[in-house]
Amino acid sequence: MNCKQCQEKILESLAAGSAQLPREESDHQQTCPVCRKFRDAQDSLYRSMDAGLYSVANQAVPPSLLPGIRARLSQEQVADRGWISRWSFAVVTAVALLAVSVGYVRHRSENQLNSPEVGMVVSQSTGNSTPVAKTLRIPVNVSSDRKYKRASPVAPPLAASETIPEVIVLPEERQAFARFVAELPEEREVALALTQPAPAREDVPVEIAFLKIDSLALRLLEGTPRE
Amino acid sequence: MQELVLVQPGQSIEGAATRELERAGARAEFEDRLAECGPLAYRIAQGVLRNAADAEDVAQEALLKAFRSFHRLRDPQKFRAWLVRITFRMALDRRRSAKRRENRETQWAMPELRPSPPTAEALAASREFQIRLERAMDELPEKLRLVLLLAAMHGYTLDEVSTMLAVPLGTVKSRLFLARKQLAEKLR
Repeated sequence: MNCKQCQEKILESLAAGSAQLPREESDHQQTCPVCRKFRDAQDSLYRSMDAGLYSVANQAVPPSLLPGIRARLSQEQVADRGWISRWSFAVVTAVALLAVSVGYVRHRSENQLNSPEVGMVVSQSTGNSTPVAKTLRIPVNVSSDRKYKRASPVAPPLAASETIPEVIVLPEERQAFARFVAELPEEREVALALTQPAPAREDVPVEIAFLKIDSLALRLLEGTPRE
Repeated sequence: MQELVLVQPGQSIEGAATRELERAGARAEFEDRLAECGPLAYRIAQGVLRNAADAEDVAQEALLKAFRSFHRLRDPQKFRAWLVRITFRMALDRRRSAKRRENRETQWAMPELRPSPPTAEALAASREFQIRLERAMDELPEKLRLVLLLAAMHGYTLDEVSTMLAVPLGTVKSRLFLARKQLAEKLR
């Protein structure tokens, strides 16, 4: 056995943590001062290493560790209960909202069924001027090939085959509009009174846009002479 | 076929009370484990981080996590193995993020204003060796480092380490051998 082989065996036995060397290496070491010195140096290194590892791995546990964990556990459990109560509150709120919205939808549909038929807001006429008082059909002085330009992209485009365009409005609005129409003397001004005056020329397209109300004042309704 | 169950009016309250009792039971059982596993988690975290405050924080986080999953970890062996792994992983993550922060701060700091590193002469030989050892440990692969830490911990045999890590005893021995060998080479 040469020194290199012996030193390799020494390193392996120290790394494996065994104190005893195999017989052959042990015999070589006794006769070889170089290998003996090498063994002593490596033994010292491994001993220092083990002592250092022991001190790294066995640090004193701070006394605040366990109380700290217990406090955090208690907080956690309280938070859990809070979460459950918040969750149940959210469920109750959601159910209540659902019930209210279902009730509202039903109420609205019933209202629509019970309200008087108000017809169309905008319709075509042949050019004859018919009185509009007390009627819900509002004539507009337009020709049959008149094109409608829509300002709102949300509204569906009118089909070419449709001769009577419709604007769907709420029953309350329809009633208010019918009343408004009934009060106005000139039918020509009525049809486009919501957005702008009716164009003078017939080939100018009519523009329909959402009505914007900047401010609204509520007053008591006063009776008209006809009422 | 569906089965209809009549629920008594007071049953929901009883259910809540049962849940509360279960929770208290789990808490008591967890407390029993805490005395042994708390220090274990702390020492693993400390072995990686070598900072008492950070190690305590990581150990607490890991134990809280363990408590949340306690219903799955009632078996003591499983619990300890899981805790060892999660603590080690969390400590490594903390160390990595601390290193990133340190690097960022170092880039921005004025190098000439920082205190100069202590000279080798100023350091005691044992302290110097300890620093070298800790640096060498950081360079070890994670698997080897964990085995080295657990094997060096007082009160745990290699059999217990193998159970904790859920690996065969032979694997633990070979990892320990490699870890010690690599560590000695770095320190030589």
